[in-house]
Amino acid sequence: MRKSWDLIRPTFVLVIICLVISAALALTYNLAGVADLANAGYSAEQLAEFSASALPEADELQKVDVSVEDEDFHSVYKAANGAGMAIVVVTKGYNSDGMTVMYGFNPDGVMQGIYVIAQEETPGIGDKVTTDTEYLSRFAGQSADSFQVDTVAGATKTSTGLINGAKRAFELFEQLKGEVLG
Amino acid sequence: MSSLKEFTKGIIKENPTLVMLLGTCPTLAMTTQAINGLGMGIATTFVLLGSCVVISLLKRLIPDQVRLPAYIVIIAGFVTLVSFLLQVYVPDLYSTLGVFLSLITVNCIILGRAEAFASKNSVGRSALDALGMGVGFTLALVLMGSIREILGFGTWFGVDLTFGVLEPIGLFSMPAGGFMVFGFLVAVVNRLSHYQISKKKMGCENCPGRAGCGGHCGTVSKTEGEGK
Repeated sequence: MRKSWDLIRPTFVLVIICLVISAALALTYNLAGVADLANAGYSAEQLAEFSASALPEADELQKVDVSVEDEDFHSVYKAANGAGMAIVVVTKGYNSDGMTVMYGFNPDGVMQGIYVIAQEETPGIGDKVTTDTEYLSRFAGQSADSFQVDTVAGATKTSTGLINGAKRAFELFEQLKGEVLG
Repeated sequence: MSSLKEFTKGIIKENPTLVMLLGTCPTLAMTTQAINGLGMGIATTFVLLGSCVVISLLKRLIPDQVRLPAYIVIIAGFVTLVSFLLQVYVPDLYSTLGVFLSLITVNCIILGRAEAFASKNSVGRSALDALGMGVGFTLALVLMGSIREILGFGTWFGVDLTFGVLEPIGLFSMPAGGFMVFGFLVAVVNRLSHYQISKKKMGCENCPGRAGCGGHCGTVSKTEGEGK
């Protein structure tokens, strides 16, 4: 009897430890509300920060749930005061994980501005472009037919990524405008 | 050893990162900016403190054969707890730490302290040891993060120091710069901590890990054999 207990004891103790830890984590998970967080998306403050650059005339961005089968598409928002809509696109820069960029449009499809939400470009080289307000402001006022923004020497791949993202955003705007603004 | 020494030994003399060279992966990866180093340090300190206290409490209950899986389960539990809390209350830091947060589980500082200290000492001493090691790790990370942030970005904790006059050295924000800063810091700390020892003959008595292994590191297999 003594011998068999010696054999079982290690397993038994380990199982008990695992059970206790799992129970404690399940409790924390529910108390802290981690599950709600995963579905919440961007907070109101974050959206206000994004829209200040991407869609300056909007008072408040509201998420619109659409079903788009496109791996570049992230999410779409509409301005509560009818100033237009903002499309978030994932576009490939130098880092193949891509940049998450918000493009703002007025109801006529003219780009109002862009905001780089997340990027992992080379620090000090490519990532300069993503915060360069002078360069980013060149996207404002562009429309789908006459889109013309130059790349930046020294950050070619990053700026090309922003430009390709803008082209995708124009296409997505055409596709979504009826559903989101209509 | 007095309790104060238990706490202070982790800060310079047995600094986990710069003297014992444990936990190098998060050290190099998370020190691009001082604030990231601070976040990583605090998260690790919390996990270290929690798991060392629990392991010290359970040291008589955990059978020897399964002690490593048991320690890892306890450590992983604390890491998951920290990641839940960060995700809810400090989402920015959570996204910066990214995968390195979960990798605290396999950070050898924590398993090292659990195995070498917490499993053999009282709860109070283990807590002090863990806290000291955590503070030492955090200080090392903040120091390294500060150097890399000042040189690589021209900022410190996000405050601009260049006033637009100087161009920061981008190399320091990249892995190569991390290795360079790490090497220099290890050299400086070793000079500070064992300058006198290096003049004597280096032996087991002078090894910085001695308090951990109790002078048995070379003779572990022999003593185990004798026990049987």
